[in-house]
Amino acid sequence: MTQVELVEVVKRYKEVLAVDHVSLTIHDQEFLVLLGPSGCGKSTILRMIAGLEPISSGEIYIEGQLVNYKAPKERNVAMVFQNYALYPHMMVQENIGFSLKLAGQARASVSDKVAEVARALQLEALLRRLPGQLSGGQRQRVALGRAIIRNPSVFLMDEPLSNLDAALRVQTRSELLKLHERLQATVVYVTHDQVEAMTMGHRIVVMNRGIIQQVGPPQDVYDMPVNLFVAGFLGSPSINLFKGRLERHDQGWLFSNSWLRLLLAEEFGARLAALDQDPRGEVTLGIRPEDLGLAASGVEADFYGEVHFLEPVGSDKYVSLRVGEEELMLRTAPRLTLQKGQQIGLTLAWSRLHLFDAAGRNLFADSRAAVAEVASR
Amino acid sequence: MAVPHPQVRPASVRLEIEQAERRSRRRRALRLVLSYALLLLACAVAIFPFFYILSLSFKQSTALVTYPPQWIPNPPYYGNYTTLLFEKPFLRWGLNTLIVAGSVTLIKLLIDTMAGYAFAKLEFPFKEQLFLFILATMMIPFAATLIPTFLIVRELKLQNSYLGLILPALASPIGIFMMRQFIESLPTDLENAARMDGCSEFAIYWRIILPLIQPALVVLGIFTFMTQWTAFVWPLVITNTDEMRVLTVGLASLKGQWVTDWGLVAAGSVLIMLPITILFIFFQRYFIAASLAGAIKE
Repeated sequence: MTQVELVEVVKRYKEVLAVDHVSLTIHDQEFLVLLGPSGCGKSTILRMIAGLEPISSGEIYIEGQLVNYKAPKERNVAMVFQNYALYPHMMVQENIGFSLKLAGQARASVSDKVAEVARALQLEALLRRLPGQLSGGQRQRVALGRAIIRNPSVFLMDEPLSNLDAALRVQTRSELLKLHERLQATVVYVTHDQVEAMTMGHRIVVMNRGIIQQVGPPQDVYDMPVNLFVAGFLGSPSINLFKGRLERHDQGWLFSNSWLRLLLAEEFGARLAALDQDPRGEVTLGIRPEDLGLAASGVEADFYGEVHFLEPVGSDKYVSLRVGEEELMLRTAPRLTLQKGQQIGLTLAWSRLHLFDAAGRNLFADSRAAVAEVASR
Repeated sequence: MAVPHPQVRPASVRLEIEQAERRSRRRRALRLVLSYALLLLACAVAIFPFFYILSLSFKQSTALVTYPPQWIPNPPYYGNYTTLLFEKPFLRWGLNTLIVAGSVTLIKLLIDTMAGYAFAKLEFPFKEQLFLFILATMMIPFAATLIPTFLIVRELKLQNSYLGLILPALASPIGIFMMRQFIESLPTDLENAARMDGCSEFAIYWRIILPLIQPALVVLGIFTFMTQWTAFVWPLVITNTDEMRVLTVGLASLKGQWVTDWGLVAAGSVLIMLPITILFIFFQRYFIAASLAGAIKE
């Protein structure tokens, strides 16, 4: 069932196009994550769904109803703000129960519901405190409680974890997921943190400059980014990108630029041959750090690089390599010993390499599928 | 790095440390004494005029010119106060002043906060221009508008009336400016949260904004009240009957053309200052809060 639907939604601030003809369908009980760099329009979309921001053109439907002209309170949505936006002069219980009180519910019924929500969020001991007396994590839970108590059809969350410290963020992330499961709610979640997006979203929507770049399950988007932007935005350390020319060479394919001549494996050639379009010409080769491997002894390396510096992060070790004029990142096992300046042979996971055309589109991405996803409202 | 235990340090080093400590303690004490002396002096200068008036108010006019002056009248003379309260319409003037200053303060707080909220948070056409225009009116001196205002109020037949005293005082933009600055500093997400919770625009103003700008309200309230309490020129111009006079004008009327009972005037001054002083003492913590607002991160 469709819960929220955006049709050709545009937001224009004078000369700036903040949201550019966005169409998007959010299903019932879905956890949808809007992901993108700051200023990409993701928060604007959230605020337009909430009704806090008028839309320049297009339509927004919630539960099948056109809400373009409805006030925020009539849309049956609740929002959790980045800075929580708790009312500083009200106690926790008043903060949570404020919407019910405004709706004219009896005091007894409000306090019953507040107690119930407080129990679910472990806020019972804090009900008579002011927001200023709470820690960041507690404030965050109060903000959630304020949203939950209204029993909305959609939860809108605007970077709700970004003000928490790292450890608390991880903990709250899983608590949010549990909460989502228990409430069976529809959630639209805005973040610029790809880890949050990957771990929480049923589907993620990657945005840039007001335009939806790609929509899909997190792993699919990671494995098959439709363009250079998505490829570069997802993944840490980020994908290695090399510009060059792709040509036919004897029986196979050759990728070359001023510092690298790479004879592409047969396996990769088969993928190229299956394409509808002729891939020859200016291209960008994309290699994720984990798709690069050290050549085992006795195996012929695809190419060679020189160890430039090492970044151990505990669970992995990132190796920065120099290949010709370019630098490239490799993710290896943490306890591998490598020396700075050492020459090492590298192998490629050919089945997972990406190739982007001159316009930045991934040649292997099923563009029709991606487009269909965007347009299916 | 391991720090050696004080006991293990050689005696010479210990002595040196002790001496340095003593020196620094002495310096600190000296600085304290000096700063207290300076502050006491400043206090004396500031308080002297008040003390002088207070002293005058308890003296008979004949005792005013004695030399050397008697700073603390003994026995104190209460006649000035009884004359003022029971023979002159001083209480009536006080009531007038209270009505005018109180109404102006309440109405101004309402108008200024509403306008401040609109200018700070709402979007409407020509907002910036309108605000600049309002600010520009601050540059027109009171003296320049005195006569036009008088003519308008006279045409409206509001001379010698409370309305005539109250209405012109409401048109002052400084409060709007102050409230706008204060309200602008509140996070917009707070209003958005209230909007999501179901607040109307007025409910946001009433239930969210007003409680949060309480310190600013108190400051603006006291400023306005004080300005009205001590206002002189406008009440002098627009009232000419004894019943409609306010305290300041009434006080001035105690001065005769040839003879002035300074003891009586001093007693009047003391009585005028009293409520304002009490008000200030009562609310001073808000003053400090308002002047510190924004200085430290919440």
